[in-house]
Amino acid sequence: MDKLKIFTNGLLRENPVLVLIIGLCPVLATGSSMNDGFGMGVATTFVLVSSNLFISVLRNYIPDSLRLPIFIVIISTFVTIVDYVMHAYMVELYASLGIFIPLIVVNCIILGRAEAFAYKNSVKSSLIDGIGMGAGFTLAITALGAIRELIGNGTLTFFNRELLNLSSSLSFQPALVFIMPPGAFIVIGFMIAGVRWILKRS
Amino acid sequence: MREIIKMGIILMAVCIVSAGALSAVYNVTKIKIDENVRLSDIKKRQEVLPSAVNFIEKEIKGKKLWTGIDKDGKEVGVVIKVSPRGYASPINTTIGIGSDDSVSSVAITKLDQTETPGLGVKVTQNSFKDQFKGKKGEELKLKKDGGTIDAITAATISSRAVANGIKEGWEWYMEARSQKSEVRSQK
Amino acid sequence: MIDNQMTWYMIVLSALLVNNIVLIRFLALCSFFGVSNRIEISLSMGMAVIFVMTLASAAAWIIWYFFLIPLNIEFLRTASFILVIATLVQLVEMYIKKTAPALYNALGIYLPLITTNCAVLGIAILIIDYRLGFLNSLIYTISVAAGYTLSIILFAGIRERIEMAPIPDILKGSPIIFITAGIMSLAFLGFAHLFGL
Repeated sequence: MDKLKIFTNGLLRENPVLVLIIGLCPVLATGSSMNDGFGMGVATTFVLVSSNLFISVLRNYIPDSLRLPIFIVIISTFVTIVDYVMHAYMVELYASLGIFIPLIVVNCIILGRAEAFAYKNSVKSSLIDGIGMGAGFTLAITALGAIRELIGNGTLTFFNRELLNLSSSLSFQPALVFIMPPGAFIVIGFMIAGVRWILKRS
Repeated sequence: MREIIKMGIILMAVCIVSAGALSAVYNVTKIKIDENVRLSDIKKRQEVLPSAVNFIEKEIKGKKLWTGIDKDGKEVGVVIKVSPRGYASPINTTIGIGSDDSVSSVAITKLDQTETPGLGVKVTQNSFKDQFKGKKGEELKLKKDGGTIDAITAATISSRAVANGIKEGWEWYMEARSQKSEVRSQK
Repeated sequence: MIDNQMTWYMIVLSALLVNNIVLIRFLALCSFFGVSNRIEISLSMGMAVIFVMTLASAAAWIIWYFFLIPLNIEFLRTASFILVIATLVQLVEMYIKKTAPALYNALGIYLPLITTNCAVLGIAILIIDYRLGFLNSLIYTISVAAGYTLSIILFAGIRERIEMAPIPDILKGSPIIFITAGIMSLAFLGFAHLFGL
């Protein structure tokens, strides 16, 4: 498989969230603003790329029957590193993502890619696969966050800067329900339908 | 059997490497995390009692409080901390009480709470916090409860938690101070 | 939120309805959407989750207060909890396979799925974050798991009907399921502010 195809695979055609529909808990829970969604996406991508890299480097030394516990140890090590580094250097983001940072460890995407791709493929392909899948995940969670924030709060924030504020310029009345839990389910439902429609047309 | 021992050794080695890496990361970040907390505490004290330049830490009845001293060495008020139960977790609130016994200002940063994004989180915004300035006693309650504070739309629990927490903290300080002055006058 | 000052029935109500783990807290979504096709299957899955989650929380509580804290190695929390949960699930699977084949037939295939159920690890971390005592941790865990079972059974009931409904092609399958879950979540939001929780 050529490298570009591995990369774009994760972005749209096999987007983990919108097409394969896995790893949803953090997407729905933290995708309530563009900023938080993007932060969660990057944190998950870091763990995904690092664990893919490590597992593909070590794949010839990992005994088959021990692979799952070893994957879990490797993944949880990177998750804990992300947890502490974010707590020290990105305090605000850390506070708003909360419990979902340690929970990256049970994100099915990461264990799934380790088992299905990194354990069987070369270091370079695994790296690209990790980046592609991570980018797809980040794209989906950021888009969900942006849509919910825009409808539910009338704003768009990115890197803690307000890009857009509908409430002040258009006297837009935000529909609060969209930043509350039901909004997450409804928006992701329509997003999946939208991606399906795009894939069907092309 | 030999196979099992070999597996055990491999798994053990992986765990040791991972624990070693984590303890290194932990030791480096721990310093920074503690420093962040210390700095943000200082900043919050200055924010709620802007006229003070120095703070003296005291303990009354098992609770910490900080007396603010201005540049002429005069006492200008106190800072207390309360942690009322919010919707998701405790909301760590820093309260300044001026020398006129009213609340001088309130500080809650994004890190002091984990309320619902977009809703309860708004207790950290100035438009909510500034309502407490210059108020005391029953005024510190929500309008719905007979006070003067406007609750945040769709986040009554968080708003009420903060308001009641501030009122309780204020009452606690008033009581503690009156007891202290009684002790003093008896001497 | 939950803390040690709450009475046990407040903890139960909060975990079961007000802060329902699936519909309000967004945990355990994979299995919620994965196995809610039929009511009987959902019931078995719910029972398996109640069983494993209670054991896992008890184990996590003991590890945290008797090993990680005394030894000053709190940074191994995530790693040790997930390993313990994975091992526990394996042991439980082997044990009931031998001692209670009937139970194994009912729950067996769901057990491995529970390892990657983020609610199990999530609740183990939450009882530590909330600083709950041992008994309160167990009450909380059982109520959370019961809340999971309740919502998955209710949802399965709705899904059985959706299958027969005329739905636009593009929404068939997962999109309509998510939108339905959203409406259910809206219903559960009605419990918010109940008894001031």
